[in-house]
Amino acid sequence: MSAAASSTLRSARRILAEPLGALGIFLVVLVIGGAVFADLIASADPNKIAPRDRFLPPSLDHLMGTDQLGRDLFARVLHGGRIALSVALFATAASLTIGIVLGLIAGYGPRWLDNLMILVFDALKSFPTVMLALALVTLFGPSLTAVVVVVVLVNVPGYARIIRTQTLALKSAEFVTAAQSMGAGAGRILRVHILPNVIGPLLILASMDIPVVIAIEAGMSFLGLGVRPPTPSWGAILNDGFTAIRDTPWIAVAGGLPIILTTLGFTFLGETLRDVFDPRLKRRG
Amino acid sequence: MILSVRDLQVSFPVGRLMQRSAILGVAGVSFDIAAGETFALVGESGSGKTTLARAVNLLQPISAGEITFDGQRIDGLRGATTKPLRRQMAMMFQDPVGSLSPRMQVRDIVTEPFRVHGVQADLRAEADRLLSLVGLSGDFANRFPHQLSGGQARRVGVARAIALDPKLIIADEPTAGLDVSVQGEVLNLLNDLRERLGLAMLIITHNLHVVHHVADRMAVMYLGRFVETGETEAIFQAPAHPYTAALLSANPEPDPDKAKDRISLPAEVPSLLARPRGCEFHTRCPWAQARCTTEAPATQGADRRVACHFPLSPGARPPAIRETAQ
Amino acid sequence: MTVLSIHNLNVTFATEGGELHALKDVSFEVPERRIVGIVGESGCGKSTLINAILGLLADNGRVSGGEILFQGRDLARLAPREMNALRGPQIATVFQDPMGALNPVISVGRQMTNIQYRSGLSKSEKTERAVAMLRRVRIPDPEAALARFPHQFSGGMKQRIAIAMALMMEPALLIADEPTTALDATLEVATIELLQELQAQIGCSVLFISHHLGVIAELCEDVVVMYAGEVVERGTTRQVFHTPRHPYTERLLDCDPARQSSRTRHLPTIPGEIPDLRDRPPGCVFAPRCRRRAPICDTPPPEEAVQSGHLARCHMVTT
Repeated sequence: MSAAASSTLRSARRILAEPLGALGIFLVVLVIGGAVFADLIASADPNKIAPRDRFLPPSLDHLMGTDQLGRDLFARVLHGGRIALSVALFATAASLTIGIVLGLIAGYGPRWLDNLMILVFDALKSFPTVMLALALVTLFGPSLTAVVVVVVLVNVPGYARIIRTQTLALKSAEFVTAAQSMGAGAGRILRVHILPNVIGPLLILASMDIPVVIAIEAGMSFLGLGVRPPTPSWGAILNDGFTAIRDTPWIAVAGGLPIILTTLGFTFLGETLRDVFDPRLKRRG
Repeated sequence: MILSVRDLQVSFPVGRLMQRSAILGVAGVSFDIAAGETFALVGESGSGKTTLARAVNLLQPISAGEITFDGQRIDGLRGATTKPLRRQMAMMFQDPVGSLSPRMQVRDIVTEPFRVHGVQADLRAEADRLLSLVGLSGDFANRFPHQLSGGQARRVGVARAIALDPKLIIADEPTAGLDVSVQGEVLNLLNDLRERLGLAMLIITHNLHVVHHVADRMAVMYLGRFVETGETEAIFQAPAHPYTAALLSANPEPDPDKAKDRISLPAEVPSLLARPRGCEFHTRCPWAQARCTTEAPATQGADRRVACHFPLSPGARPPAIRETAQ
Repeated sequence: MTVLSIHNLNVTFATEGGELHALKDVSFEVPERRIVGIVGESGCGKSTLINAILGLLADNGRVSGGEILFQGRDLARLAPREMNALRGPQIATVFQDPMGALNPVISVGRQMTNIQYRSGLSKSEKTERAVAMLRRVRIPDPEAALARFPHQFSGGMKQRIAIAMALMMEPALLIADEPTTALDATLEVATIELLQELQAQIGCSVLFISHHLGVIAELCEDVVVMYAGEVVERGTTRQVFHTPRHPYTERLLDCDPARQSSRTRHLPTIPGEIPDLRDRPPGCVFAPRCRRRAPICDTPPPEEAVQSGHLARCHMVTT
């Protein structure tokens, strides 16, 4: 087994050894499995309207009940998982890429560029998320695109800042000076020498941000600023169940429960990842 | 001459908008290195030796003076134009492990010069060749810097430096951080390679004993200037500048019975912001006289140069000696 | 009276790869008013030894055998509170990096009065003591120095302030861990001379750790040579440096460039590396690298007396 593979296996075992880590992995696998195999697990069509089956409580036919339009909530929840996860994945990937590039430039480039970028980041960070969402919805209309753009704008300043700080610290490291002395250009230095050494903590942080991304998507959909009906976003389901909560609480549960479980799962997993990879804690025998 | 430096100055701005001034890290230095020769720059912290080394390697902009390398004026070069030069002049840095990229394997570290300069070659074979040249076995190629001892990391640094057959190697404190029992490894290696490959070397160090065994010629730096230059052996036999004499006496031999003919200097080095007038060493010099406080000494001599009004004669003792007998 | 007496000290660490036997059967003494040096290279266990004496071993380390007698009391068996009471007033330490002792955000004067908190003196008495101590270590203008912060002093001065702080309470034992390694040669000279002076005035014992043979030869009256966690040779400095009996000591002295009086193109070295301390060789720990190795070296060597007070742990001592 190669060195990388065996160390990954060791890390995986370490994560599973922590109770929260094991729980986190379990929940995350549950959510991902549910989303990927949604069609196999729930045979019902999530968008099929059946007026005669409105507001049915949970039963064997409808594991989570039905909503105000008679749609099977279990199927909607599983398909909603696809939306949540695809937004999470795509938006996080985009935020990471943009954040890393900007951070590297800010850290390694000339002082004036750094100052300018910090100004922009701080300005962006000072916007409350909801206001950003509202502003962007006027541009893109309520849609998945709007959600992704909001997530990116919210995450990029923080990621870029982290990369920038690390880059600044490494800029004067001796191995970077050695590379400059050899004749390596800025591009090579950033790509080969700096990036691999700064990216680690950021990846862990990003994985801990996934619950936040999911919450943003759910929140925007709840407010009607995200995916349009009839798309079964969890936030939309929560919105549907919100008004009917006194008489038919299971709708709100169907919307809220997956959000809670997913958030908890990713948070536990992320925190355990961070602890496992913390070099200072590694020395415990 | 492989390297010729004339009247080199490096200054650093200090202070803010209204009170800008500058300190001279290197205050006018001239020397030559012939092909295949080893030249040592000796000095303590604040002497400017590392600044000088970086300036020669064009990692530090200079404020005045000329640097000629292999017949070409290089002090005006900037950015991409310095690249071809960097194949011919390689530098080794102080921290043996810290100067190696932490997430790169040794194989990639020693062959990086090939990739940077686009030199086509079988990189795996080159890595093995370079490692064996520095006395490391093939299985070191897979290791990462944190898996190397100080001596091994040092040798990887040497391998990287000689990768593209440079004409000059600049070694910044090659024995720093190494145990006494392995210091010899690096020095022997450098000597070997020098003979085999005909390299010229510029060694920066504060360790005089290292200099004695490795350098043909040396210069002693104080506050950014050379106070004495010449053949190593000659200087060790009879140092002419008081600072050189003090440095030589400050490195005790491990023998409890050797007479303590230590030349003690007042400990504080003057700040570069407030350079002493006259001879800059006069504030600490045991032989200082009235003339030294007002007049800066000219550098006397050709091959052997000293900047002192009253160069020492061989075996001179300071006027007021503090003998610490045991 | 012996200030510090270490008998068969063993220290082990629990690590991922197994139990690491960092110190093995370490024995030596520090008599009253004596300067004892510990010489060794990286991995010899000097830091572990100091940490063990001071009760500062990491969580996964412990004293697995032997005793550390300080004025008769076994430090390894003391409760943390009792150890705390000793550290400072009785056992003081100076480290390689003076910033290990100096708080960058508190003025020097305040730090020096703070550490006198157990003395029961009034504030002005403490300040006077601080000024007197700074004067003794030749800090110019000591009264003004009290108001300044560590970063306003040069490296050499910071080290002297650290020494002043360590010796102010007149401890019985000063442990100096590579205090001059980071200093330039001329500064090192001045600092060593200062230590000698203060030790003579205060009358404390000094345990001086260094890898710099020349400094040890000049400053220390006794010396202990360590290799891979064991004491391989000990005696007076004169005995050990003039007539080394352990092959490692001999080679170490040979390798010191200062010993080479004439210019050589080929400096001696000791090839090889220290063994993995999780898997110590069955016999002599230096045998794998020793030129004089013989079959008997696969059994643990006893500590042989070369002359009175001079001991070496080697089978081939009398050769």
